[in-house]
Amino acid sequence: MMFLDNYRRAMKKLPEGIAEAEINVERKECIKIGVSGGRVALTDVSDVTSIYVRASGEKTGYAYTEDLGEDAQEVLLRAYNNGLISDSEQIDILNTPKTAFNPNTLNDNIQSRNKENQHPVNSSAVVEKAMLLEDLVRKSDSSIKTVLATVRSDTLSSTVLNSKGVDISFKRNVYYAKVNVTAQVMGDSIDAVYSISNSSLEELDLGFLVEKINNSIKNKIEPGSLTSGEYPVVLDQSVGINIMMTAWQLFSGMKYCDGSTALKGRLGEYIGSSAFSIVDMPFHKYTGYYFPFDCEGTPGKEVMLVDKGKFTSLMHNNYSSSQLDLQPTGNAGRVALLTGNIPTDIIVTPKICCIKPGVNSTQQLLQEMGDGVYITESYDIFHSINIGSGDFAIPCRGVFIKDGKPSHSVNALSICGNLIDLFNNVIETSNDFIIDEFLLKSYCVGSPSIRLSKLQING
Amino acid sequence: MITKNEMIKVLQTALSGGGDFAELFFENKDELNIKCSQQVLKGITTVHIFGAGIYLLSGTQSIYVYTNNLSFSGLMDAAQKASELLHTDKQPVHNQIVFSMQTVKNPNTVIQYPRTIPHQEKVRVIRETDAAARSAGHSIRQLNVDYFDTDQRILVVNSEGLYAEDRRVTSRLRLQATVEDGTNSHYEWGDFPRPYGFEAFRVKDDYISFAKEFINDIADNMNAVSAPSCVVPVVFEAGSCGTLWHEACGHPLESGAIATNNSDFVGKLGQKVASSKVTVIDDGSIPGLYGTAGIDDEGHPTQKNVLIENGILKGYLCDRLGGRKLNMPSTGSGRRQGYMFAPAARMTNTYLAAGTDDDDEMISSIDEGLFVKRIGGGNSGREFSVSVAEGYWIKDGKLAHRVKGLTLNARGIDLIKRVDRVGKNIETEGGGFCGSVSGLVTTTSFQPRMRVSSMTVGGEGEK
Repeated sequence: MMFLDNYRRAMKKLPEGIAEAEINVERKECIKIGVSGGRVALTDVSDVTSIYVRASGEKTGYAYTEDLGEDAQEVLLRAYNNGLISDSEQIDILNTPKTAFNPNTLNDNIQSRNKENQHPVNSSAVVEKAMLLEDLVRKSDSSIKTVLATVRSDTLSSTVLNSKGVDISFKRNVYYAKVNVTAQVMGDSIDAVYSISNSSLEELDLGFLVEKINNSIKNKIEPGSLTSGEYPVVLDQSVGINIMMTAWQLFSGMKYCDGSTALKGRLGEYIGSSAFSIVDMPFHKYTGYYFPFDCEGTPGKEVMLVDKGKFTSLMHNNYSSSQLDLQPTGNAGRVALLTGNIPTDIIVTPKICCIKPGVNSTQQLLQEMGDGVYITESYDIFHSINIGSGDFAIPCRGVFIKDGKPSHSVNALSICGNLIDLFNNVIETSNDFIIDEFLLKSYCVGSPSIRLSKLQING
Repeated sequence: MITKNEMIKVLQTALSGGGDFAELFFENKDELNIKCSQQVLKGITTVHIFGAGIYLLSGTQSIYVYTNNLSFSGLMDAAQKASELLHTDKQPVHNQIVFSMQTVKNPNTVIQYPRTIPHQEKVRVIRETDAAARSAGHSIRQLNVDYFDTDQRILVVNSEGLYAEDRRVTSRLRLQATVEDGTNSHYEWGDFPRPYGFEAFRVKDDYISFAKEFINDIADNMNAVSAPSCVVPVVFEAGSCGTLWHEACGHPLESGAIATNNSDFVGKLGQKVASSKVTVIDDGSIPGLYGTAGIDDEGHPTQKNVLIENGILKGYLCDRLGGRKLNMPSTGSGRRQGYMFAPAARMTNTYLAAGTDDDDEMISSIDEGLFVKRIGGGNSGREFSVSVAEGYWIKDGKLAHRVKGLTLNARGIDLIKRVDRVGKNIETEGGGFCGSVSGLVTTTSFQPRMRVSSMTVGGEGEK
């Protein structure tokens, strides 16, 4: 990548007025194969490099470009000039080689995985996997009439390079499989969708994906109605993930500092039951994503956000940690929720933020609940939770559970309440646990199934 | 930028593996955003997006390769890759490609291109907006005012000889605030989006009023009470409540959903699918709206598409590939966020056409029900949901009190049969973003006041 060498040279001889500067380069090489009806229906291939720049004199300014041919000094100057209008008194804090991620700290497992990632991705293997997946799903249940099986291979490379001597890079491969099906059952059309990811194409668990799809169809047959009220509930893993995709913001150091979350001022307090813990980590064996450092170059640390109900820590970038006189946790990122523009601001985002699993399976949680509702799917990540108040009203569907066994499915439901009450009503979490990627492949959230003593359900 | 002859070579290379159609989509886009957090101007970020996508079709099989290496050799490599990825036995067709310039005027006329305006002017708008929000008379714990403008130039050329350009300019303010009243706090975000250049801010009262109303609304919402759980008539106000049509039947009428049998509207063309009062239209050519463009992202001129007329299903929204799958022509609906996405059939400006019913009677004739003044957003599928951003409980034909924490969901094809009133006065809306398979695209969805005879409403409150 010649352009990187240009920026390296520019860092050593910064344009006049610029005291320090940094670039973060994110390269995404992707192959996506979609198979339907036993043949390849769609193929997407891409190789895109994004350059995020910040430059400081007395103030800090920012720029973003995808034009790799631009003169590095000119881009730095553009960022610098953009900062001149700022009335912030502080300049951004940059990492030094001492505070930034050190590649030698990677454990052997990650080192060997990193070496494997240097090999180019074999596109015919991706096609083969997608064909196999489509075939497995299509033959798994005669009610399935339409299948689109998509397998994606991403090679994601991150580089942070700055004028203080930081020059670090990391590359990882992520494989992702997704199935969309439509089944015909007793005259009704039923849709189901599910996805998984892994760091190895071979280790993508297609059997698990097929099982999830078949269960999803079963859970939607002949839906009945539900009388609104409070019920004992088990939230499926996918519902926990849906909640966490927005709820992680409660633990953002930046949001905590500016007072825009429902947890403002409550650090150190109990905000959940003793069965409820949340951890944010750079690596988890259930996903191919790995975050050894953030977009500022800070090493990704494991952070216990909620420990057995106690709100113990926040996720921080360099700015938010300095506000509270704490250490950054490797949580500098750029993509919060949808904005409609390229996200360029450095904010706080999770790495792999998960509700901690328990010891029993989802089936055991359902049996222990006896009578209640198993919420199997929920929708609308973006509009259903208010982070400032914690209030939520989430559209969903589920299955009535009688004596620990499925009785009948119910649709057009909504679950509502407040997140803090929900955290306090957690009786147990399951040991079966899934992780999913979120916006622009920039972070992940994970959840087990969650048994709650009660939850308002409207039908 | 490569020359026209080089573009032809790239297209021919893409077709060399047996494809029957090839397209090159170039995007050159500038974005500017200015952040102001807690009255502190955080600076300006400039964004330069610059890339291209090669779209190759063989029957209903598609290949999309995109890159930001826009050199001739980079694009030839991408075209070669696309050609190699095509799994077809068809022999390449060596048609001569001769470009013919297609000129379509974008209905949204820009007066002041953003890049011609000094940053200080944009900062002035931010400061005035911030001050207006703070003057609304409520305790603001946190307030961010962000300014965005975008200037996207696209060029679409294809193996049929099309050579079409469009330029889309938008300006937008985003407010994020947390308002508190001593015991409670509530966070909301709101957009002031316009499909214009800096002239969007020519009338100061527009954005000042928006900022004050935004804060007042958050404060009012803190006094709202939970709605009861019941089945009642629901009245949806004119304007942005059109989101309901976007979610309930707009997405299910896109060719992507129809071709994969993922919609309740499959096979129902010409059949009655909704109340006779329902006429739904998607039109990307209406001047002054956020979802408007001169051409779609496949170079097809935007047009008016009647989807449902007096309850009868009349058509689907098709992009080129979706049209091939359904054996229908493109409806000028092939849209994408940018070069990183292959085109797909998407909505533009979707609306319920005006009816003949009286607005006041819709509410006065209800003993108990819900009045939805604003919808915050939604989700689609066979079952859709919309979140109620501003709703009021109706008691004895009058608005009684504001309700909170409501999400409405139903099966779209069932709900649109229960529309029993459609008002005479249609109102448009500012617009927003719709996120789907081809990324975030600008849309509007609007309607006259409208009523659904019965709908499940679920909150935590007592009746």
